[in-house]
Amino acid sequence: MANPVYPPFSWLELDTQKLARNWTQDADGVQREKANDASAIAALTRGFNYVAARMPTMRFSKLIQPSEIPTEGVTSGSFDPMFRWKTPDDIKNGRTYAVRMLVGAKGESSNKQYSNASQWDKSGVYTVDHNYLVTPSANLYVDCFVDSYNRNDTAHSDTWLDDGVSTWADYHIHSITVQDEDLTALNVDKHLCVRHGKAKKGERVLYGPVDDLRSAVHQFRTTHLPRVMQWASVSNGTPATTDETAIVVDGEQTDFVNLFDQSVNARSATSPGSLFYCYKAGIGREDQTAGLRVPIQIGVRAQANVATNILFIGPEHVVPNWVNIEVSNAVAADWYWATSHVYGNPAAHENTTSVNRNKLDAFVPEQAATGRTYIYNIEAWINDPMSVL
Amino acid sequence: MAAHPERQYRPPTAMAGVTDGEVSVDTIQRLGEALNNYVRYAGRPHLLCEMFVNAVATSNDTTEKVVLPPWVMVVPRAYTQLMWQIRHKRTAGAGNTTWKLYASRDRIYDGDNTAFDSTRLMGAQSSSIVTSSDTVAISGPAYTSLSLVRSADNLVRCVVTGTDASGNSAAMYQLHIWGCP
Repeated sequence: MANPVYPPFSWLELDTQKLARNWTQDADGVQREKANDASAIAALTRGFNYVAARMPTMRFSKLIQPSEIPTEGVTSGSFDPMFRWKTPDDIKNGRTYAVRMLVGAKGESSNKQYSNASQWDKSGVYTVDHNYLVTPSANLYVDCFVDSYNRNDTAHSDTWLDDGVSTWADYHIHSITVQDEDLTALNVDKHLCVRHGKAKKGERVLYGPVDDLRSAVHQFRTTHLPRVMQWASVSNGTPATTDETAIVVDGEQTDFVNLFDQSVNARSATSPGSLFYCYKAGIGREDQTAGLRVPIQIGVRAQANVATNILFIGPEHVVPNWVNIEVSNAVAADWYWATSHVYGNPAAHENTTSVNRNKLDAFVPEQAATGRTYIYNIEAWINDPMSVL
Repeated sequence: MAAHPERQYRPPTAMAGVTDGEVSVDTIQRLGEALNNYVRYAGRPHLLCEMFVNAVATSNDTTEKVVLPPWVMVVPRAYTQLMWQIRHKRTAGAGNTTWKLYASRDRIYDGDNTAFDSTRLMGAQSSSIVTSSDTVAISGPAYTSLSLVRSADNLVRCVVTGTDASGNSAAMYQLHIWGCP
């Protein structure tokens, strides 16, 4: 690797008060003005490089219960995705990500000797052959193994990265996590990283080298943020009622219909919705409106036979705090994106149990009698917090 | 004194044209605070975000059994614990169901579904959430934590089990896991 920068193995809290402080007191009690130690820059740089290299984003995850295993595999040669996901791709960090799967043969009594996996959506399709014989067993995970492949992502597109994974024949995925690589070295040509230069002890610490750090920290802090809500169907179905192949809202609805429990028709502190953590995740002062808004960008992949809306409602520390995504009348599923944000609540600690807790609910607000809506993907991620300042 | 992880991010101002000027103490402190805040709060990874349309169900099984497939994930070393929270309720009986999250440093679980055999996991830690109400609820109020023991690759192998009291069953509708310093 050209020009590697090696981050520390572990994270250490940065005690910058010891490294940079305005005043110090001499032994004789005299206060004197003080500047920065050169080691402050080195400590910050090491801290940033750790964060850039060793805090990989979880892009997608799904656990598939045995009852959700599809009965039919995708036929050979087809790369229709079994699972599909989108993640923000707006950080210049050149990351390869790893797809880690617990895989095995389909079903408990399978006796197939051929299996295969493919990475969907790219010309360089990943394939692997596994020849194994599965003995009928009530213990589904005994005959499984962990399979993984890396997926190159060398550019940032400032949009959403569309990816997925398919299977065919008898290869089945029980669980899948898609996560950036945990890097032991950063490449200055590809990754966001900082060198601290040579600040000599006893000399003034100049601003020059710090600006690279300031810029990198800012870019990372405003783009490299966690997911809020994510759901993906197992393949694409058109069932009459919700199952693992699609969330279905069928027929006339005159009230809100929660996508994860259709008997629920309003957001409450305990209604079905994705819990998320964004305590102190805002920008600026916590006692001002802008500092209490952590914007969340939301998209869905859906299909409806009558134009409809999918409504997302967030914590009620700001009112209103919802966004509608309009889904067109179309014959095929497509991605639809919210044009504004729902806001996370950075004042809500993990003990918060009121309606202000960090939970995002999803509804179809109402629907015509002839309507039927299928939802295949939900993606909600914390977006650039600077965008609301 | 420590830096202020409690403080939200406040972007340091770029000092255009003064690159040969001395860097201010304030700039250094704000950058330190920003990194501490990112690790401790804003960037805390949402490692698992599972919304089950088919509830994870137990069924009057007093033997500990595997209820969700095992999985592998990287937990950054900045986080020494997992914190997890579920949405759940009792579906039958009057006893309790205990859900248990295991995290192993070395091996993915490859033992029997029933009975779950914890000796198949090496260096495993676990923590429990108990379902004791017929009303659907979110566990807590705070998240449940699990201390990690890890090997150098930072990979953690997890599995979730369920154990019912006699005549008892329960359902889990959501499972969320985060890193925790």
